Amino acid sequence: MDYVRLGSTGLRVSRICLGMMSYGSSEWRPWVLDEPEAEPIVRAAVEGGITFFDSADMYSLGASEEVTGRLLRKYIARDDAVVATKVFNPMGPGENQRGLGRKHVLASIDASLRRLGMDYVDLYQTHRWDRDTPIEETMEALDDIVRAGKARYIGASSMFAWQFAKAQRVASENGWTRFSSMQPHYNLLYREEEREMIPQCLDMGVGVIPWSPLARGVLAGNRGRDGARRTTRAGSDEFADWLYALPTDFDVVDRVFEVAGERGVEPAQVALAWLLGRPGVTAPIIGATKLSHLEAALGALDVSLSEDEVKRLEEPYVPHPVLGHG
Amino acid sequence: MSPAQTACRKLQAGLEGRPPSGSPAAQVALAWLLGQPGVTAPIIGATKLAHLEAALGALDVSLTEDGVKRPEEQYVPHPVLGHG
Repeated sequence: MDYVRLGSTGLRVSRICLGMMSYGSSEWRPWVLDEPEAEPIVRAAVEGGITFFDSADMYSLGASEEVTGRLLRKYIARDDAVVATKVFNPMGPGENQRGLGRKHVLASIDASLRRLGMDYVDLYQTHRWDRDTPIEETMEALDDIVRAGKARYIGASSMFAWQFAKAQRVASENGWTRFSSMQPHYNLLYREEEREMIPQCLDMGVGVIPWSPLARGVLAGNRGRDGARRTTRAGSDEFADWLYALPTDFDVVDRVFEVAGERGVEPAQVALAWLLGRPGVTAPIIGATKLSHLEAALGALDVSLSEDEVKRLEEPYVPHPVLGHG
Repeated sequence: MSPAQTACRKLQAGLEGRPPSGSPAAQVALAWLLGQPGVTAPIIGATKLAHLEAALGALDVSLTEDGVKRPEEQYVPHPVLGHG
């Protein structure tokens, strides 16, 4: 395993982050693993050198954080683990059970810590932009969380680059904690963040931890051009149907399979190796519901793509509308 | 043809194919821009008096919701054009 700094911070993380959305309750989403099935995978991840784990309050409506807490306590020392979670999405029907208002943010960190069974998280992230709360209110609440020792760093997820710049400026102007990481939608099928967000993160020294690095399995071939659905995830993931729908997306998938075939490696490894080689990328967040997914991800670190291979993978890409937020 | 030219052709094709209320395409394109949030003033080029008159006339063209939707429908995301 390789370890790098999260942006310009002093926090060191593994170059692969384990996405804990895959674990929690199969009642929440059909592809999610319950704790007994998740355990061997999380254990293997730790044994493989992964120290970086990303959850969110809304994953399995809290059960992901509970499983994350229990399994990490079992397999990795708290000092060695870098634990990230998020706030924003609805956790109940209440008017203040969602969003980034002070009341919900402060209640949410406590609820997340209780579910995780930890006294702090390493990275507390905003899951999306809240149009109904002034960013000043959110940044101050996040700063209070850091000062209270409940989070070591704060981060953000998908938003427009101007919004991120505004949030950072508001924090700077008030002497509050700035975001240290950005979790954007970034993979071979969706590269729009190369326009603004990633150059901005490089300029600001902000770490980039992409979500959906395999386009929810599409880059690993879980669905076909003809509409075939080859996995539980592919058959029940309407979000992916909406995200990846262009015929040219499958031209990219074909190139991934081509390069993988020539090298005798998994397509997922090629797609991850491409992402790991992109400027600014700290650690892709991988989902692993099978041990083989994890092994492929770990193996991607050993795949070093040639300039020509990178070019072939990137060639069929066409600009996409904003996908994943907004 | 540059991607920008292709983009303009596409927009033009969308407008010319279905000109709303008989306004010239240039006026529709300017009226659309004038109606976009945040736009203060488009900078028009005029090498003929007719260009200027069309531009001035654009201020009187008020596109219907459908008139806005139809040309926008033709748009596909583009790479960054004009800088960078």
